Amino acid sequence: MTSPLDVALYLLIFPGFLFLLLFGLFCEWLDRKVYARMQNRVGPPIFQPFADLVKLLGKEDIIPRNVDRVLFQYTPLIAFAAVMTPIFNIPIWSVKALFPLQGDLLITLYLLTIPTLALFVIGWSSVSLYPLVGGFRAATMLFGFEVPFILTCLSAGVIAGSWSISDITAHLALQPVGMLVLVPGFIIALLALEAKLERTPFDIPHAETEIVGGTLTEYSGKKLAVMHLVDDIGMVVGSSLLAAIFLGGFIFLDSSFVLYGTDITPWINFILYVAKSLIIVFVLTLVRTLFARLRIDQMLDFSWKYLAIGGLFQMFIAVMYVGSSVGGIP
Amino acid sequence: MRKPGVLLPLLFEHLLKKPFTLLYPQEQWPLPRDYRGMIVWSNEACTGCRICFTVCSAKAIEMVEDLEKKPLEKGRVRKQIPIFYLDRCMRCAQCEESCPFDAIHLTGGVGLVGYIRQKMRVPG
Amino acid sequence: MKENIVIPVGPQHPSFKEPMRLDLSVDGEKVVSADIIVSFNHRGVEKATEARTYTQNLYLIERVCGICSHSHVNCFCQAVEEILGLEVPERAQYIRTFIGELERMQSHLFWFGVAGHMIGWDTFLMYTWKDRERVNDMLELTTGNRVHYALNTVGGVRRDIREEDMERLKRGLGFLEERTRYYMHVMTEEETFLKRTVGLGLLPTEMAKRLCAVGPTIRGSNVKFDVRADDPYAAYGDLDFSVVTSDTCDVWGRTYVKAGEVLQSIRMCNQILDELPGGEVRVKAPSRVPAGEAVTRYEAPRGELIYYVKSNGGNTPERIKIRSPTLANWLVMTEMLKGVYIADVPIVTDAIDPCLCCSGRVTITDHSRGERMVTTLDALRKRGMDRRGIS
Repeated sequence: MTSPLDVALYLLIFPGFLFLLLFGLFCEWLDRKVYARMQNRVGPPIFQPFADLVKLLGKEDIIPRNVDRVLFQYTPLIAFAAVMTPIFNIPIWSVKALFPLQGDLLITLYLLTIPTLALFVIGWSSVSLYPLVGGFRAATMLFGFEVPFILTCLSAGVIAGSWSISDITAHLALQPVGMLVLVPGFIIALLALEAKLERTPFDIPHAETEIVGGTLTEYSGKKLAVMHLVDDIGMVVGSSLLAAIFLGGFIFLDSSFVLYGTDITPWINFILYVAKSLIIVFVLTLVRTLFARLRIDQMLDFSWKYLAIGGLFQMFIAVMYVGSSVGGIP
Repeated sequence: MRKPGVLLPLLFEHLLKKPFTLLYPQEQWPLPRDYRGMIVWSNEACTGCRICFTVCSAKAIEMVEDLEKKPLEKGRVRKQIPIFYLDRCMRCAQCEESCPFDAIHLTGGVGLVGYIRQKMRVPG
Repeated sequence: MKENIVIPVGPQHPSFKEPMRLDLSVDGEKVVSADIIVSFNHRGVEKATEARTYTQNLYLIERVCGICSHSHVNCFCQAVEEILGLEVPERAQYIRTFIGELERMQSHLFWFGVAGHMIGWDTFLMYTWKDRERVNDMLELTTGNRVHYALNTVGGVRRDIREEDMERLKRGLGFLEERTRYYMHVMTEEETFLKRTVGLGLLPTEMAKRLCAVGPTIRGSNVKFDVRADDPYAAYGDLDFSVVTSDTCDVWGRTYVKAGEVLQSIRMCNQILDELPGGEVRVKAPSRVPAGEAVTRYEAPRGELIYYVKSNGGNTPERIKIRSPTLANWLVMTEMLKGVYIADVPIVTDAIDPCLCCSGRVTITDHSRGERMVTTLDALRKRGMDRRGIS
């Protein structure tokens, strides 16, 4: 059992709060810089997201008169906690995560749904018109992207024969052929993640030109800073999850590299993890730059016609792979 | 033929190119010829005829008493001289065009800013 | 009867560049009807022109609108020249047309960017505005300024195109032609753009004619109405161009018309640079204009612009009336907004290319007394406050 000091270290420094904060701000910077460079502009310097965060924390925090005070003030914290927790179940420096559990894939998927529900609750509790419409749109989008995302993640579990992310990564590290089977699922999960994080072409709930600020119109100051962090850390955790499930084969088992008597495999695995996450963030930014925003009914159309059918197809070939002579559970 | 992501080749091309932004003031943009910037008024040529005051559309010219009392031809004395308010002027150069004695010129010069409004006049 | 929710959009809203207010009655996500309240930035330009001489008015009229400024001055100069009976030299006509066409290109590229931003496609905005910089550079080379060129005067133009600039202008035109063809290709093929613009803001041909729409709005509904072709002024009689129309009657059709017009403008500019006649560029015009009145029309980038100038023999005009194209397109917009989703309201509103600074002129018609008067902002304010019972 780990000592309380170790637990505090894990929770607060690595891979907990501080690591997620810094990595989240770095990923936001990378996203904005690549977005700008693709449009032939200069883009922000590296400390820009941190400066934005500090500025927001210092601003005045206004609570309108008629809102439901408890929901309005404390929902961001619930969303923040929910989006940070899955990092403990995702393997970062070794095939095994920090606190692996049986069924932690399902727990992670549930926890990652909470920010979307929190956006709906925020929209509902701020009584004015624009957040209300934004909240409705956020809840409506949930009907679209959640099913393909769950289907593709679970088909990875089917291939590995377990609902634990660490077991999936271990299986893919031993049998990398499984990653080829998961390629369609990877593409679909990337698009569903784009919708989950509410980025173009699916940034309908906070479409600036249509409904002013969207769900977060009434927020300012600390609460807005926390919601922006929820976005950034959601990007980090989402891409870590996809890196562990779909690109999990690119990882080394314990004690593969020994240098001067010390095991440096965790360091190499960590570098690989950062590289995988950044590649996924780059692809997400590419999709964001390339497309225009879809309407809500067009987005649901697209989700059910292409993404959900693709998810079913992925599940089908995963089951066929497992049942055939090529696959099989070790 | 409809397909998504038509701009994709252009995105990658721009990722490797230098940005289009001009990093002013480290890099400067060359001004066009006869750019209408700073107003230069010539004391020798001006006779105080007030034509520039009449045609100015932004009311940026004010006639004040000439303390120098420059002598003109035929024994007369110049009574008034113009002062140009740079913050009101919209650089249309109608004064330069209308002046019959060629006393006003608008030359190049950007960044004509200042902190004190009373100092932004020609002549000072 | 079910009460529809009324969503007020504006006057401060990130989607509109200028303040105007739309009251949308919605039923779920579909707009049932729309009501427009404009004139939040009425500046009293028409009254201000009565206090200034014709020379001073040139620069005031230029500042009615930033993007179509040359169109306003051109129309005004044509009206005054008609009252004077002045014959403008041919080289000046050609230069006026050249700058007018460059301004049209600049305005349409601006609109592409704004349309891209309305549907959330910021990449398109950055690319089209980057190319618009090239047009602005060409304008700066010729006139000395990027906006508000101060080029026109009663009797001709104030500057000339030099021989050594021709090379750069032609190169710029070639570059712009290639880029516009690329944007035409993107517009016709990009899936997400087509999804957001095809079939929206439908305006059938009959309704467009009945409501008297002007400009690319009506040309996108398959009506060949273009002042340059119907009633040629300046150098358009000698130039060879075609009027671009589209028969889809929706927002995509108007985008297509604008892209086509940019290509036609490039064609016309090339012709002008090749065939520029020699001669002087201005004639002297008297400062006192004899009594008379004139009405002129001009094809601004947004549509048909009408100027009425009345003079009574002095050196200030007695009355100038400006009918800008956006004013004619407001009614059309309320019709187009029926039946669209809320998400499409910005792009449909923007399809008529609203330029509110051109159109804020208020005329009150009192039916009971059969009178018409033009009023000032203070009087209007007082009237509104009296009606609401505020003192």
